[in-house]
Amino acid sequence: MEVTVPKFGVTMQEATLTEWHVAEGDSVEEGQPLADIETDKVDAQLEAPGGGVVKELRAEAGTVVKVGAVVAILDPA
Amino acid sequence: MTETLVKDTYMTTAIAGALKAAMAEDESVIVLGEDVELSTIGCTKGLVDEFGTNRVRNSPISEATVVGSCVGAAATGLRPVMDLMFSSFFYVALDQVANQAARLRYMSGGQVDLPLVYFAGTGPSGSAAAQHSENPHSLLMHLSGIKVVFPSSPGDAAGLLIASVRDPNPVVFLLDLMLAGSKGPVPAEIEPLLIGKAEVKRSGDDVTIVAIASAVGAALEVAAELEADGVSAEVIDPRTLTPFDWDAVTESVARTGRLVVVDPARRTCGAAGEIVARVTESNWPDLKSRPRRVTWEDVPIPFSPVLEEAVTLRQDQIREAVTATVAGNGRA
Amino acid sequence: MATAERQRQEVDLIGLFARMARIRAFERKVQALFKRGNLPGFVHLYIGEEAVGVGACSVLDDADKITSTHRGHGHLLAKGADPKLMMAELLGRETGYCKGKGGSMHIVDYSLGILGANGIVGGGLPIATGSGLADRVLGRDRVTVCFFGDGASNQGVLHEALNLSAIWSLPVIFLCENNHYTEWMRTEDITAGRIADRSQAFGIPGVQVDGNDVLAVREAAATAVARARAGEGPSLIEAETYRHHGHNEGEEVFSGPYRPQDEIDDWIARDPLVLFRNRLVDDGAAPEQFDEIQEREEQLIEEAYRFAEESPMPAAASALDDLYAETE
Repeated sequence: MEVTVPKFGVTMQEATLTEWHVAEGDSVEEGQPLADIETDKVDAQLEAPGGGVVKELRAEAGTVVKVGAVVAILDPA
Repeated sequence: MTETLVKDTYMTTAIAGALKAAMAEDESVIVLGEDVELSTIGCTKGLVDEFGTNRVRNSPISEATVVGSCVGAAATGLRPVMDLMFSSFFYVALDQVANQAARLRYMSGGQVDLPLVYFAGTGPSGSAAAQHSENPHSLLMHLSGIKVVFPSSPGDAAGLLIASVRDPNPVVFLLDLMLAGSKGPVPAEIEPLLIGKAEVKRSGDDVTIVAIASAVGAALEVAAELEADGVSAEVIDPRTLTPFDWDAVTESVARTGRLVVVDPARRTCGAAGEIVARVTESNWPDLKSRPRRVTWEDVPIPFSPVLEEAVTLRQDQIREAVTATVAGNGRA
Repeated sequence: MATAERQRQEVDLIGLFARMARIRAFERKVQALFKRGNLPGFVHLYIGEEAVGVGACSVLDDADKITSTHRGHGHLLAKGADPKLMMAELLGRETGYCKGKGGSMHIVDYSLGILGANGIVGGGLPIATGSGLADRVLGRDRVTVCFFGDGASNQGVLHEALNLSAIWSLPVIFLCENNHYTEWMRTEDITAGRIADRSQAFGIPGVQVDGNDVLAVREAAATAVARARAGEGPSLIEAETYRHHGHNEGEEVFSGPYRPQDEIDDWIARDPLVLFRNRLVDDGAAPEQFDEIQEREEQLIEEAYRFAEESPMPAAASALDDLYAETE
């Protein structure tokens, strides 16, 4: 299960993934905040699209990620 | 630019800051448009709290009448700034822009000044599709009677916004939506930039690249890459399209002898064509190779990301055009 | 009422519920996809307004036409659009209604009389008028329902469309979905008078209905359609309703709450699906079937998504197709 960066508003092309709240191997529930992301207008959170286990984190904290980029992989529950 | 306090700022925030400064210095400046109070795109954020609802007014979705109201208001004592949200909506109000705002001063023999600004987000923003992805700057340039400003950086945007509000003429100020979320240095005390003055964003000797709005960043990246291949590219950002800083471009091509124009707009009758034509006229003896344009395809912007990418600007196209122009020998 | 008659009515009524359930399921799926970052562009959801589209389209034939808005998924599904082809279009696939060229706001299906969703507020008003004009000139027994929002009621073209349809007695039903918010502005702050009253200036009927009561909408539409078919001209209907979600998905993070929570709660308590279900159950319908219907529609939408997901993206070269029609 891919975790992609959603588009919050028309002007958003990319965001800064400021902090991860989970590590590889953690169990997560659908809707659980996985990371903080910062854009030109707002600080938002990236939520888990479904329940499962975090298999892979693909972006480093503090880096810029594009809308639609896959930043994590979950093994579905 | 004063260097007292320069901060990396988002483009939308920079514009909001410039508008605030413009409103603070002149009580006759008002802001109109859909949702200018809440400002979901961000360019008018906080203004209603600062200046109140007499000067910052949410308007209904009535583009033609609100655009036209700005003409009437500007003719009779106000300096209105209207946020049209998306530049495609200029088409809803085209009579009031083309037949009224761009015509009244001329038709009256100079009796009327229309110090107004039409502000809009413009260009593709990722699958906004045909009715929300236009870049109408070429159409507006062709009208005559209205200035067109199209900056590529937050610093330029802030300075040009102040200048646009102060200008006694109607000005269309375009915010490239690909750049709206970008960051750049903006001084705390914003100085107005001259409308009609281009900026050389990168100096070079072998080829002049004129790039418009979001194309500037792409052109700079290509120029940096080609440096490694021994190509020295000069990148000029016109910043204002009407009035266009022809001197800056002709002076540059007189040195380099080569021209590539990168325009985020359709090819036919676009700004790029105008720039190529004028430079060919003015710099014919200097040209070492054929001028080239990099533009969109001549179709509406499609929805699917694959299709949108296929018809809009790609960096490889810019690189190809620059490389070919540099390799050209006067016969190609 | 005879049992057979009641059964016939029940079948129709259950069908109305099922169609509303389909729209709800489709929009919920779109909501989830958007949240995961799987949908290109932006979407405007119809959740909470299902009774308007379904009530109105329930009195139309396939040959009748509609124009829709940026919030058009509900209108299109109510008119019979195929969820698979819609979902594929939303995902930008080659198999979508518009081959990936239009997206959510521009879906068209001429075979079902769907003249298109539209990204320009008020953009459909003149188009619907023209559709009515064609029927008049060609003497066809057809009507056009023009869906538009309270935001569009302030576009100059509404005035022009009502006037033109009135003077030429065009078979058009102008149906305003008043969900009380124009993007993020309260409509009453930027709209003078009552929208339904705007008909009076043109000497045509204008009524206000409860847009969350599918049968009330159906009845008002039926009256307007009958008038249009009889050659008596256009009508204006203002259906009061509410969108459960925002203007577009993803806005909440920067718009903040711009509607009072108690207002939202009150309208959600009047969910058109729940209201209709309760009414039918009160009238004697078996309650279990509604859950079954909702599950069935959810499954249909899940299949639509799978179809879309497995469909290819369009070929890049196809971006240049479909601009002009071929000539000899």
